[in-house]
Amino acid sequence: MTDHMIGHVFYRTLYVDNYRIQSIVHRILSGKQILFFNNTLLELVQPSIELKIEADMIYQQAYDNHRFDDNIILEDYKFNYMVKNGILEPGHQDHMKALEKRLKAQKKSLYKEYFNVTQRKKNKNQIKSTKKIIQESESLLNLINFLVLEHQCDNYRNEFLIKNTLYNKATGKLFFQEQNIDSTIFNNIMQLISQNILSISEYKSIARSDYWRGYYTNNKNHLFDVNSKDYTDEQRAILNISVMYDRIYEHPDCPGEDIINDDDALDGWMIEQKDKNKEEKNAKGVSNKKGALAGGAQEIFIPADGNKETIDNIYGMNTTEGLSTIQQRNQQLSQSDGSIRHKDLKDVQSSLNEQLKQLNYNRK
Amino acid sequence: MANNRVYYAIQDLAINGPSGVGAPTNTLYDRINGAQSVSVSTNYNTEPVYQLGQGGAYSYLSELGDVECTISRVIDGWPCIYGMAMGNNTTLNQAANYKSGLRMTVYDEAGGTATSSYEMMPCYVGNVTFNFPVEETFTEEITFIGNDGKYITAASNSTGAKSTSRLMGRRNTMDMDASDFPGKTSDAIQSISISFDLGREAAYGLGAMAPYTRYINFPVEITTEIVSNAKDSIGGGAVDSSVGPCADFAGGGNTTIKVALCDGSVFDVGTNNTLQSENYSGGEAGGGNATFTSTYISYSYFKYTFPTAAGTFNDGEGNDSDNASAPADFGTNFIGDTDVIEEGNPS
Repeated sequence: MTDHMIGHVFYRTLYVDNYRIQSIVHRILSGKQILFFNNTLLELVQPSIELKIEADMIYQQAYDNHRFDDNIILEDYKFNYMVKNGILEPGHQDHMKALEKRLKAQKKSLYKEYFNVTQRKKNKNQIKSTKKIIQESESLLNLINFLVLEHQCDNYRNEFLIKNTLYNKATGKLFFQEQNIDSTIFNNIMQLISQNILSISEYKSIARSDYWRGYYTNNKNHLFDVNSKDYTDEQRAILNISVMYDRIYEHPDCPGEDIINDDDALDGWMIEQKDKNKEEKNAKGVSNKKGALAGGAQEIFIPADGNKETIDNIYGMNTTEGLSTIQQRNQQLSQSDGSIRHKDLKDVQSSLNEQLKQLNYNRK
Repeated sequence: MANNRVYYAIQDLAINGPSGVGAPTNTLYDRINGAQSVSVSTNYNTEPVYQLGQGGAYSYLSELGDVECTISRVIDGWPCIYGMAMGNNTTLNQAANYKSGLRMTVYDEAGGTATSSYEMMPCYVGNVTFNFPVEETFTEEITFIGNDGKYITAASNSTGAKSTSRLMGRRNTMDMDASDFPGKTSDAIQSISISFDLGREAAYGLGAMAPYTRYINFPVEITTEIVSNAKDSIGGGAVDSSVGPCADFAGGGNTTIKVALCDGSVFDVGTNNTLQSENYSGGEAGGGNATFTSTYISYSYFKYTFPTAAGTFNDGEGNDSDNASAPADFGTNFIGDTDVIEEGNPS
């Protein structure tokens, strides 16, 4: 491949990306989707609130009619059903939670170590790998959705909405009123529509683009020519994400442009900020409590009544260092002969050593 | 020691005491119900010993740790921690050498199961505060002083029943007929607080690192603060400024302070309280009530009594297995979940 060709390919890719961004922005601004199907131009418009209410009724009707059918399971029972039939391991949900936690930690590391190019690459690879595992786990969880009543009802609702919002652009009539509803045609159109569904990453990319921001900054509050209740899903999403970027830019600890442009690193920054806020709020909440907690106590014991969420909340008051201290103490206790004195705890020893070092240093 | 604070979720809090003069030997713990939080602070005093010709320390002179454990608890009809540690119906003088043990069963931070305990033994009651406010629940805050704390793998074996729902001590549960304090006939009393610090000096002896006791540093100053809306001045006139030369001067020191609750518990500060100060505050142009704060002091007499008839708290001589039985109730004038609110003093 020649340099010219490389340059050409690069230019074309960039051009296509910009073109795609522009066309999506136009679509979002118009509030309509234009689809080209079998030499026919179709227009998918935003359903009115009244139509959405009708669709909800169809959902509810389908739910009531089929809830006692054979071979149907409810969403609440899906997980147990899958475990019972050997499709999922009993610990699948815990595994998913652990993966989500791992992904958060990896994103945080990516943000913190972003300046280190080697570490950045390593973190990115880890994130990619975790995302892949999460995706596979989620796919597994959705494997029997065709049996789940709520999903079937969702399909009925969506089918109703599509049939009543998809127009033939040439005739101006509802497309499915002009011809018999054929399941193949319907599925093909559904596929076309689903191809237009934007991922979060695409939304973010558009929200950051100069082309979108040109429109957005001109008139943030009245960008679309409709009442906010009539915004399309895309319009709502892009506005929310744009507001999110506004807040990031206004934040006193606003990260650099390279972090803002990297979705995972920016997620890491947001996780970091959220954790910080939580720690501050907890510290404030605790110091607001009377008496016992107000002083400079090193250990605070709070009754939890056995509720797992309460226990998690109490342990959540700890800083990362605090949690690590607790884990280290537990480990030390498990390796002891059943008891360990406070002064023999590793963290206490280390703190005392620091004190002595300081004493010696002050003497010099 | 650097303050790297850690938070533990605990299943229960239990006390082993009082033990009289000797170290606590009981293995049974009584559950403390109504605890809100426990904070533990440990300080180790270490001093380097130097020698001539050496830059670094020659050795270190280490003392045992000073452990302070502060428990805050709502008063809810169960015996107060003070009574569980210092005995029922005992004066400060009688209970001066009483020791206790404290134990908290800690939940594992990962699985949420109780796997270990923090134990502090022996420990002595150091600082005491009882609050009886008009707006919130009545509370006690007790600080225990000791030299050692440890983590153990065995869970606490407290014998007391766990109280899952209790009616709290609130303003209408103060038994005004059985109570006695300045201004008790006023309907504008806003709060009463009783507090004292027992000092607890460590007494060491040759042959042991640990103190053989932590004695109370008598005389103990007991402060009672009574806040009233400015409708009634509760302490004014205690000193008669019109008394002439060589005449008898009644300088105070004869005021009785006794707070009684409807569950039968009594917080008795004795009959020799003296008005130390009275402050007027509030009533600003922007709104708010003007209040009088009367501060009384007395020395070395305090007695907490809990009705033994209820069977919840026996004789202050150890850990009775029947401590699990239900405590005395606050009676029908209690604002509880049935929301029966009766005005005026309980009969």
